[in-house]
Amino acid sequence: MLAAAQAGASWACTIIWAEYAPAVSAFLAARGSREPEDLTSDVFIAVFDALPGFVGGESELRSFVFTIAYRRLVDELRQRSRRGEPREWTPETDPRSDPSAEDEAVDRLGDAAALSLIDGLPEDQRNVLALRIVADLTIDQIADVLGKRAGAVKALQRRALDSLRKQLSRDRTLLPSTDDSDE
Amino acid sequence: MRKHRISHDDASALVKGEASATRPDLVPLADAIADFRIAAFASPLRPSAELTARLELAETSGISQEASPTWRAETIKVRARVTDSPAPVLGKVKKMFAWFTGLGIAMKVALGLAVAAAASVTGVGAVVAYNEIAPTFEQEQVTPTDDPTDEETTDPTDPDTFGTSVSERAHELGKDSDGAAFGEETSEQAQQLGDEHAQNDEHAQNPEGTNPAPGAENAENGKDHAPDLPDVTPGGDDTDD
Repeated sequence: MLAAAQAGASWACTIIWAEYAPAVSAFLAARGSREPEDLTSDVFIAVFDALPGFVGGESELRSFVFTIAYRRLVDELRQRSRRGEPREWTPETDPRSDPSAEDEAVDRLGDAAALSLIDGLPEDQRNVLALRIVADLTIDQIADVLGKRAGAVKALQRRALDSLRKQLSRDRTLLPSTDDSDE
Repeated sequence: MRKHRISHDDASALVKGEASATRPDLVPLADAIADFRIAAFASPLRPSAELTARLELAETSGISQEASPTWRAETIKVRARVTDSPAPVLGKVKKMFAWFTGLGIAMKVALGLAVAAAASVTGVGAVVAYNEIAPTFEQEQVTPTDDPTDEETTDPTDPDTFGTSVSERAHELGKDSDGAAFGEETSEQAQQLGDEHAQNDEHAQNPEGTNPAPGAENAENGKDHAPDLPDVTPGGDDTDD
């Protein structure tokens, strides 16, 4: 299949796309891409263009795909940081309006809230966790994608998880308790 | 109070949205990571036009996102089997379809006209073939049978067809036959046939034998056929009259 894809067979490229595109799109969304759908298509066009020069097996192919995805993401994030982020005004996002309790609940339960889990982490830790949780990459594969040593990736992962645990513990402490027995 | 450090095994379980039973303090984090994973896979996935041109998306279009890697792996295996085996045949069809959709309107119209012309020629050919075959078929359908009710057959003993039978016999005899002898023979047959038929009718209508004029009508039938004879008699010699 891989050889056929390298030769340009569209059916083989379709299999690669079907296998990796969901995880690539999810990784890009988790890392804050504004248009993960379009960026995923760009990633796979680049993958298919670079595929004839690829050497390796299935494990290396996964690293190969996510290396391209990571580089495309970095490009997008850099462009956004240079140009600034234009935001479309909507009544719901206007901070001057008083959000209803229902809106707050929806926001808290929504996908954006879930994806904001890693927003408070340093960029390296966000990358490691996104690649580990969403892309299902191993420590060694992440090391290949990010160009780091495996030991460094392990340390980043541990520190990221420790930070998240502390953050969640702090949030739970700040929530009003309904149990009076603790007081 | 200092909490336990997250080990490598704990981390491996956490990134899958799980927490070991020995670390209940990690359950909220595991739940949050599971939600994070589900939310990340919730985004739609549609390839761009440029990418679609390089894929065969008949079976894989509208691929659904799912957070479970196991589910995805099984789905992809099934999809790969479906896409992999029939690829040579399906690929040709899809390439033809993609080629056709890529044509301009003028080319599509020209192709449509060509297809319509081919269909017309085929239809005309079918009509011509039918016209040639149908008569033969119908002839086969009317091949003489042994059915006694068949109108084409003539029974010389039947008064209704007696005249026809005589005409046919006259044609068969031709010009060299003796017309006088033929006429005399035919008259005798007609008389005999009329008498027999009259007796049959009398017996059928009046079994007691009360009918005073037996066979008169059928005798007339026999005589009615007789005047036709000179018309079909080849020689036309009336010397016996």
